[in-house]
Amino acid sequence: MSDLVVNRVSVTHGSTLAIDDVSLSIHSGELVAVLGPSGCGKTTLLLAIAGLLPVRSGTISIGDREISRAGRTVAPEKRGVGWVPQEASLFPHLSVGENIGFAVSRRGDFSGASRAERIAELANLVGLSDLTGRAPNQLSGGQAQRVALARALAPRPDLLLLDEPFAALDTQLRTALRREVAELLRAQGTTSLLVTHDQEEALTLADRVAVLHDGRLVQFGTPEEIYQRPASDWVASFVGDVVELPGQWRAGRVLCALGAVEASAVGFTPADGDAVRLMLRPEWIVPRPNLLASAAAGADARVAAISYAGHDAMITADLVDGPSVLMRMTAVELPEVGDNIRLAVQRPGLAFAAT
Amino acid sequence: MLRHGTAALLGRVPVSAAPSTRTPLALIVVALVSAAVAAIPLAYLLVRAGESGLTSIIDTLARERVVEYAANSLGLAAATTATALVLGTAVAFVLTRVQVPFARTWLLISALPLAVPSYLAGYGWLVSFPGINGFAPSWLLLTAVTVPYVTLPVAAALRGASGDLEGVARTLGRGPLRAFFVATWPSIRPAAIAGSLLVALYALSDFGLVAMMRYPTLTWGINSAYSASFDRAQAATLALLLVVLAFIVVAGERAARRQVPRATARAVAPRPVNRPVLLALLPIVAVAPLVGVGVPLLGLLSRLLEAATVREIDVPRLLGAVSSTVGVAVLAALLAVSLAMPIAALAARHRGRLVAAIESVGYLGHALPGIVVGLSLVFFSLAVVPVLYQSLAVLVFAYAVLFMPKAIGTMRAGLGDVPPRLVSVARTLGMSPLQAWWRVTVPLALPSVGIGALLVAIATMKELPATLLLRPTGVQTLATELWNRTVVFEFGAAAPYAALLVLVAAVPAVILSGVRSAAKEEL
Repeated sequence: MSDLVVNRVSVTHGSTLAIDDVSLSIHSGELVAVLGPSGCGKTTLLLAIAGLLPVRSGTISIGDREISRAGRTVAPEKRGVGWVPQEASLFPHLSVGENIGFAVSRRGDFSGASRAERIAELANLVGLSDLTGRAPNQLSGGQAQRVALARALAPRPDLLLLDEPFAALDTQLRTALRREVAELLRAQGTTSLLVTHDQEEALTLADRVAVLHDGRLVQFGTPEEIYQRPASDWVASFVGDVVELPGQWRAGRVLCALGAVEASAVGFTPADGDAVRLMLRPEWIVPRPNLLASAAAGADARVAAISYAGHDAMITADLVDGPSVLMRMTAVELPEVGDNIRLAVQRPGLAFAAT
Repeated sequence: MLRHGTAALLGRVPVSAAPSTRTPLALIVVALVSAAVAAIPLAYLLVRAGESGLTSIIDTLARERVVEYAANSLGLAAATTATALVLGTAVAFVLTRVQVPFARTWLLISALPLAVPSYLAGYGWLVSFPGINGFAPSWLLLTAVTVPYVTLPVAAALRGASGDLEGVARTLGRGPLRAFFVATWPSIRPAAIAGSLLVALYALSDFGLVAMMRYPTLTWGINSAYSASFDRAQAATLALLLVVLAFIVVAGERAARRQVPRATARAVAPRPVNRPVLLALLPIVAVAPLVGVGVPLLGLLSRLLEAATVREIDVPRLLGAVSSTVGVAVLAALLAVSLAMPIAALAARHRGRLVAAIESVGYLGHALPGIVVGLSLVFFSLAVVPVLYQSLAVLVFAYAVLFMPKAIGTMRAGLGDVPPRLVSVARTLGMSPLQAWWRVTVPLALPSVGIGALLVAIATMKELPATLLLRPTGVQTLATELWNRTVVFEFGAAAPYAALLVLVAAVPAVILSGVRSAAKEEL
């Protein structure tokens, strides 16, 4: 097993620069998600790593083996990189078993019975032992994706690329299958790169998340870092809900409608008195100030709306002297619309330069 | 060389509207060789015409007769193409969108005219109505025998077309007919245009039927210049004019064809209709088989069953003609598919002027009248390879050149339909480009290769003028035997050959329909 290193890679598509100077390094056995809105170049990055697109500059290597540089692309079949495309893309002329066994050579290691064993083992791994005789068009979407996964795992790739493999599935199946697939990949110790536009998918599944925006890597870190300490206001609002308030920087705090909120500045060093934008996550704002005596910030508000989502709820609170803010609460003890509450901020916020 | 074609393999990648693909050199070379081989008859034609000089060419073209020939050819081709397009699309629509009882049988019946050579339909009508001649019977009979060239590809495209799109158009307030034209027509248009192109080329280069109907088109004029006056330079000039017309047809097709994204949604299920509607629709399906097959077959049978005919049948001679007909058809299909494969593979995945030029040259064969290819090759073989003069090799080669377009058309479509993503998947699973081609592209495109080969075989068995000129001494096919007797008005003696021609040529047509129905059932 060996690391994947993407070093200052740019990829062009026709005349467009689809990937612009991206560097990433993924450790052996790690599951990394590439997250970005559609059109950000994440699929292009995947195809370049698979060797299906040439890079314009930079290098891609696995371990000490360089597999892509400008003018030299090791052929896809010689890279040891597996690919699970969007929409499964099973070979329609082959049975499920033959799809799984496509890369299991009849000659060499897997002749005769041992080839059948290997296919059965893989089918079992993805929970489709009974279906190896079926034709691909007799499978459901989820089953087809499992077959595509088994097929890609069959040649024991050094690296597995998954291109939005769950996007076409319905919500319930998607949640169950992606958890199952992540567990399977971890159990196999397979180094994997998962492309997705779904924040929740990236945050729940991945060891680390690479956020792409307009072909550039804007942040690469653990899910917690991405969510709690986004590198820019774009990342902040892309990976989750945000509350944004204008304010003034003063000695490690932001003076704003919520009071003096403790904050750390992101991407710049503010001086006292500078105008900044305070960014908070809705769940950082809580309604029980007495339990949080240390929080110096606080403000009175009136509950304007409640959007109930079962396990939690999003509350719109109008600040008495200022704009409204969003707060997320677990749905155990919810206030009612019209209630007066006192708000506090339970952890330091983020300060961005005012635009 | 390892990286060739990768961009083209990724049709679905965003922003890759213009595939900036590197075309593999080896494929270009092989396709160029195929195209060069296919261009031999035309090249000879140019040499012949060149020998007569420009002034003589202009003199020839300005003659009133020649203008009439050209106008007749164009008029016949335009009328036939228009009717075949409308009728073929309508038939395909009925067969794919309406629950027709015995749908499989109807599909088979609609494909039957493929088996009937135009001159055989003419013979069948002449047996019963000896007086018919001129434009109208030529037009109607040509339409009847060429409709399947539109029906079959359009029916296949209709099965692949997204029904959801049409449904969306309906919910947006379009009526059924407008919804069809807005949503479905764009995705079947390439198939319809390709089919119509085959019809137009067929009509332009048909010789047997117009000769029987005594309708003076360019092919007729070429034939009389060659055989009556032995004015080969003039015939070469007329043939060149015909080639120019064919070029215009091919160019028109090229301009009209657009890449239509393949819809992956479900096709529309055939819909049940009540009896009166069904009774009104079935004549649309039945008219071409009736005119092109039914009536001629009846005429043929009536003549065949006469006592005098039966008494005079020469069985060994008949069997000899059958075996030579089938033999040359198989050889021609093999050679044509081999020559067409590189051109189809190139045209399916790559763009550019060179590719377009190679493909056009591949299509050229069908536009050359059989009689011109025949005579070109007689002189080509005499001048360049005398050993092969009047050999089976030259005859098979003539067939392959003539009917390559059929193989290229279907194979190009079949190869183009193989999702590039599947090939990419195979590459990431450790297959070299050649292995991926062999294990993914070939199996998926195999039905289209088989259909291409069958189309060539069918056409070969029906071919007449080139066979007349190039057949080795002593070799008679069913077509030449039929023709030799018909031209001396021995309709009775011709009948057994005509009947066997129908049977032998009908077999591949039936297989063809069977394959298509099976493909439909799998989906």
